[in-house]
Amino acid sequence: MTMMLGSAYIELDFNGGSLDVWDDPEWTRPDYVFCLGKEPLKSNPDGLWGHALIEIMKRGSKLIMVDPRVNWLATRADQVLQIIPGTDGALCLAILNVLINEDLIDHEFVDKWCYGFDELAERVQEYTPEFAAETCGITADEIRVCARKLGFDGEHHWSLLMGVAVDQNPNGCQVTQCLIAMAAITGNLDVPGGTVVGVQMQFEMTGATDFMSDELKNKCIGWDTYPIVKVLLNTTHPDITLEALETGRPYELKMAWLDSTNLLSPTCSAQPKRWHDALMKMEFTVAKEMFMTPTVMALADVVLPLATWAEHDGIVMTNQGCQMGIAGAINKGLQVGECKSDLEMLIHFGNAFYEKAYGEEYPFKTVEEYLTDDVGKMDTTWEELSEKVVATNDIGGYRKHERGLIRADGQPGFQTTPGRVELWSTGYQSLGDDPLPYYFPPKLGAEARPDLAKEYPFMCTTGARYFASFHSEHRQIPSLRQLTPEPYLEIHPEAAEKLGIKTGDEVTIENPWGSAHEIAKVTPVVRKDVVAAAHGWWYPEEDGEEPNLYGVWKSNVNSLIPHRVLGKMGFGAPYKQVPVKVYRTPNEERVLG
Amino acid sequence: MSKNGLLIDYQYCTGCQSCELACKNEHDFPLDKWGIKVVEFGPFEMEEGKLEWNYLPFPTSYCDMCEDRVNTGGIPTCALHCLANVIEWGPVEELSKKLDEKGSKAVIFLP
Repeated sequence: MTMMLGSAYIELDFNGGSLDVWDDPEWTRPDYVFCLGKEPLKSNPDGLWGHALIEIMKRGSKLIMVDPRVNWLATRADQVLQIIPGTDGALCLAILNVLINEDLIDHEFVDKWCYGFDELAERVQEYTPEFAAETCGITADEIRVCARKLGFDGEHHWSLLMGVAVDQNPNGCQVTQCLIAMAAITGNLDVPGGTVVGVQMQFEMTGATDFMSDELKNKCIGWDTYPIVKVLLNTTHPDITLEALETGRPYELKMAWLDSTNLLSPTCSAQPKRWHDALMKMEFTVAKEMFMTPTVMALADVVLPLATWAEHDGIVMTNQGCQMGIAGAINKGLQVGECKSDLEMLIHFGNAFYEKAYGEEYPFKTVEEYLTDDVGKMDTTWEELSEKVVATNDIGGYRKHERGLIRADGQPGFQTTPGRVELWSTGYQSLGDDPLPYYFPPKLGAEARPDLAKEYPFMCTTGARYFASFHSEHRQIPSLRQLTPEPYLEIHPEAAEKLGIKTGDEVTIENPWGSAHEIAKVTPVVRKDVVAAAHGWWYPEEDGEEPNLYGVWKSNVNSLIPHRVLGKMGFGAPYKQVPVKVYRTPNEERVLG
Repeated sequence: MSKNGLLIDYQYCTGCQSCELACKNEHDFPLDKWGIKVVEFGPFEMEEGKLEWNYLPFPTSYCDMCEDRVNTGGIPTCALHCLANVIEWGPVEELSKKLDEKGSKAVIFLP
């Protein structure tokens, strides 16, 4: 998004800037919603109000769902493309192939606002629907039918719902390119019924390194190997950071600050046992947390007790493409012990450690000052907001590129070098990748690794969400744990029968990198060659001391994901595409329940 | 005067179970008592390539149609908290008209 459009984000248009939302006469519902990479009802990612999709569908929008799992939402879809995990790139390139070859293009938008269309058109010729059908495990007809629904006809529009499964894929940067290209060339960027293009965030979150000396910046781990993390995220590269922790090269790290993470649980790290061993070497580790977790138990020397949402003043915002259209006040309801909020702690420690940054860019000494400044961008005061509870914010409306609302210099166009949507990416090229999208088979899949496929015949996807929990959170809340009491491994009835597995059996999921135990759920929602494992599981009711650490290693599906299997630019790990074998756990090896 | 009922549109009940928790909180029920509970029907592959799958919030014997809330001008808490807006309440006569309009995949409960 940043590369191709210079925008912070793109998102479904659920009219996030209006309190009337879908009843607002200024809003148009999309004719189709193309959903790839998320199930928004359960994940509500990045502040998206997921159930908005239900309201939109009630009003006639039709859903096209791309997912190796037919989730409940897919049963309400107009079309489902149940692809093999990791083959999204082939599908999207084939859709572009059909759109271009059948001339379902908004030529006016392309001519005026796109860069590199001819090159893209040439690139997609090799990705025919027949190629994609064979690759993805679906039919060429389905692909053509889908593409025609998304095609430009001067009248209909569709909106893109793109999710984290796109990121969790070594081919993910290319999949993103394709999805944005699909929206752009069919005239569906930032139009009513289309996909919202977010401008650079009004409520700043980055900038910490602006005040670092060049000498210090050049020490950021992984910036030379994968410069994209410098350009886009202002972080170190995680895989290379693990290597630094393990080897002491380029230099030893001495201290860890654990914030908003339970990384030893099967969530954000590949090979969490390695992270555990590496971080145990720290001289001093601080964590801020609400609940005791395996990560805190294992690693932290000091824990800063964190206030929950009810225990501090704050603002909550909707997020429609990083456009915070509606803000709601949280009024502190109670004080628990000495707990402090994230904001209090960050302001406190920020002022203590980063005198320059906090003096110039973020001159806030108190939470009140911060909230007042934030809320001031919405033409209201903190006192007013805490009384009236909700305020709206002008998020710019449609066709922002025509009105100079996307570019930092205020000129019409997109925040890219040519000022147009880059179908041919100057950014990707400068970072060492192909400027045009391409597909490669899953790096650990049967085609690339036939040596693994024989013994590990299933492609395992992870990360499908539950209503009852967010990643590794909420396992210790009795009413939520009751809703989803244990980790399920979804397996197709035919596959289960061959393996003698029934619903409720404890099963072992295994591959060369690790193993995990879950409870089998025999269900037709997955492809016969796919299993879907639950992530995030640990057991707060168990002994928390080492080595058990609340049973964090029992169902740790992230142990199955290899370290540093990435895309060319350094993004995209195979969280949703690891080869595994599954078997009913022998009685003497059972660890669950 | 007709009784109040609950009209459920199960085309769009997403199975989020917010109604269950809202009801328990409202009535101070323990963990193993529900005033309304979501029933999952499926997924069943009754025809190749097609899944039959519905969620339905089912009021129990302990549902009192949130009498206290309603008497002070409120609405039943399940209906209030439903994320998909698929629970409506009111006199059965009125709900019947809405059921007719909806045309399919809907049910009226008299708890």
